[in-house]
Amino acid sequence: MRFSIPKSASSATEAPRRSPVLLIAALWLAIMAVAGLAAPWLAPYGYADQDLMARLRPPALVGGDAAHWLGTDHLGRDVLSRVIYAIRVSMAVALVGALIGAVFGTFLGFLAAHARGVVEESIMALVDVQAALPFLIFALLVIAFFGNDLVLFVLLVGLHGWERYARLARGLVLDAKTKGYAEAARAMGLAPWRIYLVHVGPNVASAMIVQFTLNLPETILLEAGLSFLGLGIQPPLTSLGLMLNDSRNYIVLHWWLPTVPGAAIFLTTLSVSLLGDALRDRLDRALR
Amino acid sequence: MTRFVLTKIVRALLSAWLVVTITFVVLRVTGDPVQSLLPVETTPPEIIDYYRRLWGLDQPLWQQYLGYLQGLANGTLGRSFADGRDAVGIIAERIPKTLVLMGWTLAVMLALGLPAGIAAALRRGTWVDRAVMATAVAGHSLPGYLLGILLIWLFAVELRWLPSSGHGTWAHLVMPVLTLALYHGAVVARFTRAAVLEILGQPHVLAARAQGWREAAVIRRDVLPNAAIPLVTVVGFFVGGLIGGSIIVEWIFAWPGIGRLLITSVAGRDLAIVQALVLLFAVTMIVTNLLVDLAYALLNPKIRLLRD
Repeated sequence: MRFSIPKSASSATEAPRRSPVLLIAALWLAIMAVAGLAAPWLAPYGYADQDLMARLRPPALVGGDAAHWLGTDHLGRDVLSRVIYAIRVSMAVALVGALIGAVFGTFLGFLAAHARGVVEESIMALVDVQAALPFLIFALLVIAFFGNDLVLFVLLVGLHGWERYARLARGLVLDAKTKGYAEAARAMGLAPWRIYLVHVGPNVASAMIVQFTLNLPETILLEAGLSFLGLGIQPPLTSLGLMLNDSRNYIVLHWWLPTVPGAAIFLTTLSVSLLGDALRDRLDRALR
Repeated sequence: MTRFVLTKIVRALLSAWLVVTITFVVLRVTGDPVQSLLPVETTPPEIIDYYRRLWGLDQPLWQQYLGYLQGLANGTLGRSFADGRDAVGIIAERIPKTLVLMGWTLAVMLALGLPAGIAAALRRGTWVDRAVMATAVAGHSLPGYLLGILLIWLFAVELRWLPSSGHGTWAHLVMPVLTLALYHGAVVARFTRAAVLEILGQPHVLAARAQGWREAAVIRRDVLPNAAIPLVTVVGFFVGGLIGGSIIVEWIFAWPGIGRLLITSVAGRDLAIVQALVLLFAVTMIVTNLLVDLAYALLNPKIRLLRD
């Protein structure tokens, strides 16, 4: 696989430039967004429509026909339609999950910095426990005990990374409290929530956004990983990880089955990471 | 220093107690394991009662909690709901398999990642640096389940050099170890590069160079030992990553270790096994983090020389 990456964070002193790689990454994410949003109109078939007379057809360019551009799977389901719906499900779960984690973690971080004392100590103890336990283990524990219902699964994915937001937000808020503007706002008699939302919030937002771009690729991989293990999204619904898992037994003769969802996972995570790196460089420079 | 060590130990114990208690609470809150195991409508109530008594579920909660803590102290963690065997025994016979996998992974990832990271830092901005960093970024987007399938396709399907799954011979070990080590080696390389770059910019390196030491000697004496200190702090991160990674890799390659056991137990809702495994992983992580903190304190004079 050949590609070049933009200059890493260490070369932040150089002037920003538009790299073609970043453009391709942005384009790819745009395609993913359109595919996810317009899945019902774009997909030529339903994601669960079986055609047992047309099982394991190859993609159109390697001996298949235009009826199934990316071939069909072991149940004769159209791979193109399935991957479009899988992108919809995987991206929705990852985005909603990542947002939940950001909001929940940031809230707890603000709460810890505001309340201090026992509340702060308890929150930070939970942060330590969560940080010490590999998230996959934690996720498996929850799934083992509570089963895997879709809403619960999204909430679970949402817990990923909350401790990083909490730690970061607490530190930044404690720091902001010593700054003049927060002091001034307090002196004016503003309510605490107002100070946090209107005055401290915007000042810590860029750090939170950077953390979000770091977390999002991991969230995508987490959803795909759990679904790959058969413990995430359940059939008949589809997701990128689930498609990959389904394809494992057909890898010998039907290479397109793992390749399609695998490429979608890889390219999407890579694009988010590259754009996140670039955004981080830019924000770092703006902050300096 | 004593105070620092004691604080860390107390924190570790507190974390361990929290994990143990959370596991217990979660286990009980989720309802009666008997009901999730036996179909309530068709099972005679006396059989349900029998199992409730057998597993101690008829006692009040605090007694169950005490019994649970007592069991932990004696090293018994209940029996597998699936086949009635002792959970600790089932896990113990699988641990060596996972340790073999992790030991080799550790060796290979360090053998790949350390030289790559050092080379990238020393030749910053050249093609070596760019190649290492590109691999590291790509590796970050290529999780175990994708890389594993890619390796199976390459080595088992196309080249037919290696068995695609199972265990027993050396050949079976190659792909699982490669899958884990390539991914983590990429991360090691990135950390090493950053650590070495940091030290290269320090005044003492400039001083050593100014004294006329050969570059190789400067790197061996001044750069590498100092770069090792920040690397020690991320060991805990790697142990966590390896535990998570080994679960997926054992699943893909049908490697009969505790990671695979965890997945099958979660899928079969064999809660006794899941609980014991989670405690094992959590305690491993807590002990690792404690050791990392202590090692860091020993290596770092700022903490080592701290007076109480």
